[in-house]
Amino acid sequence: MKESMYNIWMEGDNGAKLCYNAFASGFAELDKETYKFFMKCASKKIDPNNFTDKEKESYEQFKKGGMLVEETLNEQDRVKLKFLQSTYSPNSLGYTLLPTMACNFKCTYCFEEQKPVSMSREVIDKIKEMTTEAFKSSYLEYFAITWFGGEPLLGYDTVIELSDFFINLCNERKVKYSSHMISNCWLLDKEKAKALSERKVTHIQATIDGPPDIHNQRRVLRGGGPTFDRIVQNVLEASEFIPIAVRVNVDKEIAKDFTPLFDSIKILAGKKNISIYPGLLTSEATKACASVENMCLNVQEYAEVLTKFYQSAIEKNLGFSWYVRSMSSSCCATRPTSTVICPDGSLVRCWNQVGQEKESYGNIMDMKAINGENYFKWVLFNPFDKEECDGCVFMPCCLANCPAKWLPMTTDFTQTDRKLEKCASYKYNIKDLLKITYAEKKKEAQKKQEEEKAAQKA
Amino acid sequence: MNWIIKPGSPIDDFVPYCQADKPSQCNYKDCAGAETYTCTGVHCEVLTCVAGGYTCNNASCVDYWGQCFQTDATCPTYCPTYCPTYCPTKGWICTDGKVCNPYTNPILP
Ligand code: SF4
Ligand code: SF4
Repeated sequence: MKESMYNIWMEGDNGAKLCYNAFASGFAELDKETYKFFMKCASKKIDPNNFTDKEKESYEQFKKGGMLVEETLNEQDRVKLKFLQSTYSPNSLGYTLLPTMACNFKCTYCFEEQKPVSMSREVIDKIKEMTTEAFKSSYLEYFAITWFGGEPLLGYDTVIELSDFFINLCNERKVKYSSHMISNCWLLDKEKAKALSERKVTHIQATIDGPPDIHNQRRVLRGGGPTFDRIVQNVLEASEFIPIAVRVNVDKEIAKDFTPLFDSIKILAGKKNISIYPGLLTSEATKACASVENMCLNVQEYAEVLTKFYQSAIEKNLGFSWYVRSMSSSCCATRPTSTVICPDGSLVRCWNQVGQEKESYGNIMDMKAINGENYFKWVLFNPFDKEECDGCVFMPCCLANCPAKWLPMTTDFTQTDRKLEKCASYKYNIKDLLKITYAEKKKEAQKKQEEEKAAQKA
Repeated sequence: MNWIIKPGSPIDDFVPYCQADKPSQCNYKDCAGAETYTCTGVHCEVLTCVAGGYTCNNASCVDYWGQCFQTDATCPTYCPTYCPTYCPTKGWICTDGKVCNPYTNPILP
């Protein structure tokens, strides 16, 4: 046996060692003795038949956690195979659907060029026809939809009509259906949340741009006016029916002091069905987005800020936690069985290309006329031919990160210092973040123990 | 050895999977309490199943390689269940002698 190339080691409490394995995605604490035994297993020819029961148990756990692997195993090949199987598997079908390009907000950084087009009857019918055809595949097991926009709730009727159609189709063919939505939540009242939950929308992503004074300057209503309070209120009410993931955008200004932000979202923290996570505002998408360039953090700066974010959240007992697991494929833009369908029927690969005609690879109204250049560069994206990533310990989780950062684009992306920006932010702070997770989990375990003791006494 | 977070990753992370650390954080209702399962946004999977597929919530093993739900000649190109023979010119031939229709995924160019 040998040690996995995907192990990341850190110091734990009382001389213990911590090991995260990026392939198996486990995170373990090894006391001094167990660590010594691990090193013995990894460095010498050992005979498991001579192990004590305790050693046998540890040895099995090392293997289960991917920390110890067979001498002959090329771990990079294993990641590659998993990637190829998943990316090109015909067992799934996925659409990102934009019922409308219209939006009731006018965010300062929005990357979409605003054209208030809604999905026409012809496009809706064509999607139904195309999906019915795709369901003839005997391989199909999963069908997933992302409702995107514009603001998808401005196309609510289309969401309901297509969801009902898809769910029926999936029931008939025993295909597993799921969907989620990215919404500004302005129109998300209880009634809609309930109806969407009945349409198997498994979660909704909402966004907050800092504490109210900052948020209300950036995420403004199209006709002017603040949005913070109503978003928070709607998230709280809708979470009764649907899990909501609240993305909190972080930039240089917000990162100066997290206290006002945390105070303002405290009401959401720890609530059932609500999770909160930080997001990076990027200026790379389009010219429109370049308007926020001086506010945005680069990936390394973001990594630092993220550590601070989780640290402060823990100090305030907000219960946010961070973890990263391995993936089997890059994002949906690279999967041939996935596509983004815009309201006018035009097809793009990546979410950031919505509304950019030059990046479109065709239109569902005429699937024969495909722009090969805009299509094949995506579906043949290969994370394993990137020199920079060769041998990287993060490869199983990162898979070369966002493909858009590597691929040549027709559109004039701002692409400032793209080389620096390619890596996932956790490359720069994974140890700090894992240590925070470690401290948090230990605290949780201790609390549980104390509660159990108290219950026993009682 | 003490697992702070147990190993495991879904076979297919076709949709972004949830990173819940404990079953109670899981968004997928059938997953609650199933602590040996990796929790995904869609379903919970165990990586190994003796029948060659995976088990979901102790319910059943799904054939990992896909199933054919067709019982007649409408079955598509590859149909291992009902079309055991492959003919290079005709495609898959079902047991009743019918030929499976060649199938093209409409979202592929
Ligand atoms: S290519 Fe990058 S930006 Fe585009 S959808 Fe994928 S991850 Fe997002
Ligand atoms: S993009 Fe960076 S972090 Fe990701 S695999 Fe490549 S080198 Fe590693």
